[in-house]
Amino acid sequence: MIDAATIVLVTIGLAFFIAGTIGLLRFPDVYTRLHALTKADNLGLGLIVIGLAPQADSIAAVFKLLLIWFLVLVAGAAACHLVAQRAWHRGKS
Amino acid sequence: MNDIPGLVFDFLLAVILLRVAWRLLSSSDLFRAVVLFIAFGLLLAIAWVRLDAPDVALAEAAIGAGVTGALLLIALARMAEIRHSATELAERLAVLRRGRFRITIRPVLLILVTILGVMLLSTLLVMQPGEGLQPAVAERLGESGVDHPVTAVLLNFRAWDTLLELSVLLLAVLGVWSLRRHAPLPVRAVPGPVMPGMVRLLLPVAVVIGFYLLWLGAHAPGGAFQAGAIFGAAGVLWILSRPRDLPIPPAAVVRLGVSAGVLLFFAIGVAGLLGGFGYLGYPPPWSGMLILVIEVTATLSIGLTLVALFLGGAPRGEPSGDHNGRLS
Amino acid sequence: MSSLPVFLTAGALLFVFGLHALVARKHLLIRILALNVMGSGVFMILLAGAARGTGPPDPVPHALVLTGIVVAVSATALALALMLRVRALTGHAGLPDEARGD
Repeated sequence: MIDAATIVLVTIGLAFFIAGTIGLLRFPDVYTRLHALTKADNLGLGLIVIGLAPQADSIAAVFKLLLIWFLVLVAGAAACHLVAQRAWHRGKS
Repeated sequence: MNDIPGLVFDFLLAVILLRVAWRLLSSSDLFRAVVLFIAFGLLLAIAWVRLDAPDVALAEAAIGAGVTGALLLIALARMAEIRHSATELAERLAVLRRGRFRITIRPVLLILVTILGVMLLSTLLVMQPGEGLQPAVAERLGESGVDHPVTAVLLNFRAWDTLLELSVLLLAVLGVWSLRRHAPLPVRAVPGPVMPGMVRLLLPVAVVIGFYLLWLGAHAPGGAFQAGAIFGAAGVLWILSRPRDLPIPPAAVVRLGVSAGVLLFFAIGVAGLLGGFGYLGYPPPWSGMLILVIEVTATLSIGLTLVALFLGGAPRGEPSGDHNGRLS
Repeated sequence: MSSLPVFLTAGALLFVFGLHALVARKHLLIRILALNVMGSGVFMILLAGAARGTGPPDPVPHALVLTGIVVAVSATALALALMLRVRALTGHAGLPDEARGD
């Protein structure tokens, strides 16, 4: 039962990652690619974390998983902003 | 062991790794090669997890992909900045605007390398299953002072190798310092609130996680090198957020900081020799404490060394060569 | 059927790819990356050897590979500094006696 929930959530998370990667490969310019990648990856990772949480051994492990998601969120958003800012300064439309 | 999904996964992972390695080694664009190398490092970390080596996976992700990636990228930025009268225009364009080199194929080299590959494979694939040294380590684990086998091997049973490894790291930073290019970092300060805000948030978290990994190494995957890499990464992040007004400590402090790990480790080793436990032997009731002391000092040294390797140049207050390489 | 032969083969191939690129490519940065790839191949072979028992893995190769990763980053850092120096002195990042153009 719990395993089924894990499998479902992780699979949906993977689907989001695939969608983000397709966006990276198919979109025409930096900004749309960043948009697809950052949003889809954050959401995908969140779903994977929620899917893995019931499998954890202890509450501490669940908190560690959530901390990982939070850190990726912060780093991903900041990196996305910095890349977009740099592209803008270089004059890419 | 019939683990078909695992086997399929490992096969796919190996194919992807080989493909990425091929692409990065045959790339004519330096930036693409570096980015592929960082991705290669992260994929390797997954391979190490599959091979039941979580300590190595942590170190590969932090050091192999993270720190090496930062060093490669800052080297690319410095390359683009070096001006020289004889610089080929094609070279400069290749770094700045990703031009193309022509790559030659050499048949003799290909044949020799293929023969070597076949010989390697024929020797390796007859490897027999065996336990190796795992039973021997497990038997003496109780006397080592820690509960985690890899940490016990690193800091007790094979402490000499670890001491030499720290010395190699120290030698690398001494080598980089002796080249004495004192140019400022080719990094522009980033306008806006995002960078300082992110750094303000991530730096304390990185410090806490680093110390946590260090403490964890005694009974779970973790330890001095992974923690040191996290401190180094935090230092690099901090530098990148304020590239122009860095409060660098005086040269003496920096020199002491990078050598402290090696010096303390060596001192403890000699003390063991004088105390009758053999070189780098620990008195059994104190081994846990000694290992902790060595690891803490080593972690701080490793972090400082990685930051110094990233910065390059020479410690502040030392004479340096000018940009064209003439020694002052 | 374990996946050890997969990793042993991949490690050997990585080593051979890296060796070929080390000799064939002229740009020093690519050569540094080739050395790192060769090292990764060796690590993969060592770790596959560590995992060949049925119980817990052998911790000694783990320690060796950990040491190897740190030594690799030290060597890479020094090699990159030397490469920058060569470029500053000669104008391009290749060995002085080799022809230009990769």
